[in-house]
Amino acid sequence: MNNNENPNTSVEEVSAVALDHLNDIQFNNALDRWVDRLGGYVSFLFLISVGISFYEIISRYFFNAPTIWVHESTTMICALCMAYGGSYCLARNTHISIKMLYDAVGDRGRHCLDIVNALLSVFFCSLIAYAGYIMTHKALFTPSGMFRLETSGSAWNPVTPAVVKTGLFVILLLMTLQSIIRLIQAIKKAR
Amino acid sequence: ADAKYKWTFQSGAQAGDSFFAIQQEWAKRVGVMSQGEIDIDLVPVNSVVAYNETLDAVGVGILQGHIADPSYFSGKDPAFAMLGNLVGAWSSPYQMFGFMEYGGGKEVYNQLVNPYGLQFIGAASTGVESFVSKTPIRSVEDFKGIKMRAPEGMVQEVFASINAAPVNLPGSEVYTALDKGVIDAADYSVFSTNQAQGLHKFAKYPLFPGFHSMPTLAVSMNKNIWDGLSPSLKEVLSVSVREFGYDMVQRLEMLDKQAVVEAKKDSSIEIINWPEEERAKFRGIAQKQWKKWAERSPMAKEVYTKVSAYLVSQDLLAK
Amino acid sequence: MFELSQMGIEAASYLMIGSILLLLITGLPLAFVTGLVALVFALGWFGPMSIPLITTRIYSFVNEYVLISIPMFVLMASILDRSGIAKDLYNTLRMFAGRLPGGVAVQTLFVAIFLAAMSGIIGGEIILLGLLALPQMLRLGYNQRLSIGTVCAGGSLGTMVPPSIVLIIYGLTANVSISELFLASVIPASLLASLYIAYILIRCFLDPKMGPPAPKEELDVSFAEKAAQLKSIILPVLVAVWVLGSIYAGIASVTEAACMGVVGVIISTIVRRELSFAMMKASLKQTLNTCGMIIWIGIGASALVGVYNLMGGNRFIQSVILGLDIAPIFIVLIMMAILVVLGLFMDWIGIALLTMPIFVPIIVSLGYSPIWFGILFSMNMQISYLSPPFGPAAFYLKSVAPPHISLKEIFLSLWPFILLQISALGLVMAFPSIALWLPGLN
Ligand code: NA
Ligand code: NA
Repeated sequence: MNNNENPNTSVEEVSAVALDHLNDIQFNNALDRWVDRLGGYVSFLFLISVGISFYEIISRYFFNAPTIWVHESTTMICALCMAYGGSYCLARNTHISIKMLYDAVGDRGRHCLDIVNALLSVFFCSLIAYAGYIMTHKALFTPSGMFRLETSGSAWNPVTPAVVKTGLFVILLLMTLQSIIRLIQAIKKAR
Repeated sequence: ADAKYKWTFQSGAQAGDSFFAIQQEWAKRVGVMSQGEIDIDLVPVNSVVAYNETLDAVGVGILQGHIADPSYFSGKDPAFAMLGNLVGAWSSPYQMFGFMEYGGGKEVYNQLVNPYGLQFIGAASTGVESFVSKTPIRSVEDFKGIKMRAPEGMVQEVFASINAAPVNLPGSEVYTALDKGVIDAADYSVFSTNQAQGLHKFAKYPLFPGFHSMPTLAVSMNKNIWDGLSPSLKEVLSVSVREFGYDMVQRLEMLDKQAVVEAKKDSSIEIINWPEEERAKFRGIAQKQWKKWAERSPMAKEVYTKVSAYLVSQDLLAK
Repeated sequence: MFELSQMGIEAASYLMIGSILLLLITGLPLAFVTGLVALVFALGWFGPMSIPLITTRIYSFVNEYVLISIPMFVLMASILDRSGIAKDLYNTLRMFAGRLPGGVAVQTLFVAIFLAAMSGIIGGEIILLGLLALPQMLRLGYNQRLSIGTVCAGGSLGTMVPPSIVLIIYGLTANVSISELFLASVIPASLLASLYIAYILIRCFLDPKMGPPAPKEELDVSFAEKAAQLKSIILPVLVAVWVLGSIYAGIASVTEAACMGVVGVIISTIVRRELSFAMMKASLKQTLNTCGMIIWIGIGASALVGVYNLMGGNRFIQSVILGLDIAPIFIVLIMMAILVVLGLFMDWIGIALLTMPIFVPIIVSLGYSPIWFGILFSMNMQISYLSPPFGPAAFYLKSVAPPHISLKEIFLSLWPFILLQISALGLVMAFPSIALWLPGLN
């Protein structure tokens, strides 16, 4: 193993880049930009979940009055945010992938890989979005077709399962759409 | 050697749970009793889908059957909660078996699950759960202000109504929360399991025999498959499940008693046995909650009517 | 359909691994790779009616309560990173360990152990260290690979040191005492940490450039200056006390402790007058981004396990092991090998879900202690965090590391630590009393 070629230069810059590398992202299309902007608002939900969890801890420990709603609300908020994270990372191209082959091949190879990957993404996202539709339908309607929101069944009994399942379905649709645009762009670029 | 029917059933039990092995013996026995026509692969909780998603999975045929606590599906219909764990109704699992087999329980459960694409075969039980506590709780009044972990649904409401402070916690958090004192007590599992996981080491006042919670375990399978079975295979399944219910209850009772003997060797552990009048008081409070739940759906009302009639007929409930 | 089920589970197992590897190198996001393989096998094996299985598992996965601590730890890390707290802390640490080559890396390991006692989840700690320690070690001129290895290996300790979510899940699955598991893990975890520390010190002793001591002028400061500098570690120490205290005093559950951490750090930034809307916004966006990466990788693996179990994968593995006619200790050895191999492709939740129901009953029937095996399991999971191509520790770090540090560079940094982990695992296998002595189970 070698030492860094130049251990002492630009270290300040390194940490500066580390801070802000998330900010200068080139978006390829309007949808991605839109997903990114919405993410700015969605992420504030994390702060809300911190706030209510803290409220629960305080009211339980100091006032012996645990709430019945914090635990399920926090789970719901985080579930929706983490699911949205999938779309967000897709928009920003920050999903983790192994770039070994990608970096090794030339421009033409890269175009091919782009198309293949976009195709696979469309296939994956569209099928699980379809399954998400089935799941959401079950959460919104009884077997006899009557509208009812699936609840958690707890003492508080909120409609969180219906909300999260619907949210997940919308996010999967969004990811399908993002992948389709990506595919179109990859094909255009290859020509 | 190739079975005609190859099924995957998912259990609600963890792989290491004492009752998972008993459930697997049942699955094996079905193979022998059906002369190899049925081969059930019984997988532990969360293997294929999460514990509370098995109803849908069996319905569409991803799984062919499940052994599940109906309370997991209370969010789909409150009637599941009443069939899953009717707090305070049963002082022994045999009373619940009587209702399910002969008192109309089987019919009403099928009325509930058939539309979801499931056929109910029969019920089993882990027995009445014990209660783990760090402070001595000797009466209903002692529950006042006790921070306790309670599972979803009716059990939680009953404890709230006797002024305990129910805390929402997943099973995986119970151990450290109880150890460090985030909670004072927990509705968790049967005595032998609590003892095996070491909970009594720091929660030294278990309530045993239990009284607050006795989950039903419903064995059900995909209705389309069930409808296509020969009468003899249907009988193999029904009879084997009925026997499995008794088998499980008896063996878990024995394990509980062994664990009690072991716990008694530790003089710092005090096993609290509630007097009959406190048990009756608790049952009375729990019964008020059933009525509330009965109003929440037509099926819940149906279950309430059937169970009440059965309990009255058995002199277990004043009319 | 293609009737994949015709090929049988054995061939299908190899085909699964093969297709994961193939898809991985095309550069498709990891989350999609495992998910896609799960989808194709569900479709080909069972037909279209089985696709809802994948989405159901996604739903159940994101709805898991214990995962809540991940965004909270990430948020805590992001805020810390944007405030001056981290930099001040490391400057002070350097002043006190400055003369020792590799001293700051050793201190980072101590910070890691401290964090490990605060949380049971791995992702949060590595992200915290990745944001807190890595840029600082690089700034101080430490060798990049040594720094990366220290952060990843140290951060992984969170699942060995109690409270440990891996051991809790193992205890619940195997129905053994969690307190005995916690006690049993103390010496093996210390063993691992000591091996890491020894390795760092030896490397830096042989080549001081790897962990350069501070320049003389920086060390030759007056006592008064040193005391003044100490002030900068008051806040971080208070935050640590606040989080640890909230767990050990019974104020917060293990998951909630992460929330206490966020609150503590926000208060610290207010005290330092660093809190701003822009900083909060950037931290939250980073949290969303990091969680998206981490959670979606877990989602794919979880879907894969569900499909594989449904295909009868669990029965297949069981029959392979039970079919072996060898001495019991070799069966344990083979189980460890299977865990290592699975660890290449999956995260620990998936591995536990898949293998524990099969392994634990066999271990018990062979007469071995399930507590000991639990420790072996969690040590093995330490390896799985670091081993490529599916090394969660590397992914967590990559999500926060400066962009010039590639995934390849991270994995190249990790192998010496993987060797250390394997040696520690071998020691505990050969001498079970390392684990069983403390809970008194010898
Ligand atoms: Na830990
Ligand atoms: Na790995």
